[in-house]
Amino acid sequence: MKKLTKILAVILVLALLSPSVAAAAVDTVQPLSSAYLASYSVYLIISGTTVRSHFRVTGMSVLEEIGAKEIILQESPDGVTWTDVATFSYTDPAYASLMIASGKQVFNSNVPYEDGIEGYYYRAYVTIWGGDGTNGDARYAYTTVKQI
Amino acid sequence: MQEAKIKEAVCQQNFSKLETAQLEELLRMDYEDIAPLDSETISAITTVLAERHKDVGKIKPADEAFAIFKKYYLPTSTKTVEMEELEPTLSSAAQSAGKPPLVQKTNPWRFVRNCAAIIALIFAFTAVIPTAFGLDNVFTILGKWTDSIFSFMKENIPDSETKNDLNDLASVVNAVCDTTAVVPTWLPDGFTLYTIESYGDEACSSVFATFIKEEQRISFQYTTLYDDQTISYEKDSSCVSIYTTNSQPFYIMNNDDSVFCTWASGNIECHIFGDIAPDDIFKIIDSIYTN
Repeated sequence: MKKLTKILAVILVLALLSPSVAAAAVDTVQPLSSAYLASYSVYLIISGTTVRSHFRVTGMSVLEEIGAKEIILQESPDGVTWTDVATFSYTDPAYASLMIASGKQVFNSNVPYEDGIEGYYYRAYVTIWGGDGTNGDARYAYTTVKQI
Repeated sequence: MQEAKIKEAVCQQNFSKLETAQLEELLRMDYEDIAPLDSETISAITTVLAERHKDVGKIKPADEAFAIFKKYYLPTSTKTVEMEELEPTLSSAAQSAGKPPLVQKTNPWRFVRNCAAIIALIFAFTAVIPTAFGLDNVFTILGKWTDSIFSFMKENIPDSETKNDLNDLASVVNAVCDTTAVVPTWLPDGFTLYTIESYGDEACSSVFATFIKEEQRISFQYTTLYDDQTISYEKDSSCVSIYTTNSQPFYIMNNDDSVFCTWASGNIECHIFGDIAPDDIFKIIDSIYTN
């Protein structure tokens, strides 16, 4: 009887503690709302051996900076093990205008990679960005996998 | 001979010597104003009749009793007595006689039927019939008045400029997404089209438009998806509300303290967001299917 009482007491304590633990955990998770970003999507379009990493970003309003800060293209022979084959950055003058726009609320763009291998799989890891020049929000997203 | 006997009984207020049929005939003639009786006489006659009925001492089965009632009493009444009113009386009488209560034939669905009929009538007179005759839905018409004038205002009808701009949006959406059934016909007064642009590639085609009113803006984005890409919508941790109209679920949520709505119509993803009052989002949604 004593043992049963002890077990019940432990269960009761755990039950009382669990919501507190859960609430504490929730407090550490930041809400994902954004004052800058409304929606975004990323995807690949393949044409021949050219792999284009596309992104579309929509701001809550007209933004000073809107687009993608970085795109890492990855390839895989089997769809399991992945290797970075190209990194595109908005700091690179060759891609700056393709990746970040100014004074826009919606921005569609893409960057090309022309050395794709037939039969290989590709995906891109994109850093979405929306900001006012000083502050902003970044989001990270993978494209779906495409095969050449 | 019979008449003399009846007159004598009436004069003497002694009705026990008359037959039941004669007493009932006296009451009938009184009821039809052929030979009106005073209240004392009627009371005396009914007392005698009651005594005689008591002598019978048996309550007839409900069907038989009702047949008697229909034969002798119903034709002379104005038929305002309904079966439902009669049956509880019969039932209580049966109970007092120690018999099991009669089964009442009241229909439990009658109340529901009546309510449904009333609602249908209200709906028909306020929504269907006015629309059928080319008038606006009554629910959209509200009155406004001052000390000196009264006029009807149509709250759900946007001003002409907003309406024209919504038509422009519908034209572009139709050209890009091949439908206008996703474009609202109502926006809060004063919003005008500020920008509209379209985009297309192998994976998707989209229309983006923004309406503005002073510092406020409401944006629309329609994206037709041709592959398996996913659009992510920014939201806070509050719950997603689902508002269904015309069998189409609309997902309403918040981002950065502003309400927005998204839904999918086939392979078209739709997104309305911006400075929208919580009540207005429902009006916007409701107007989508009034094209």
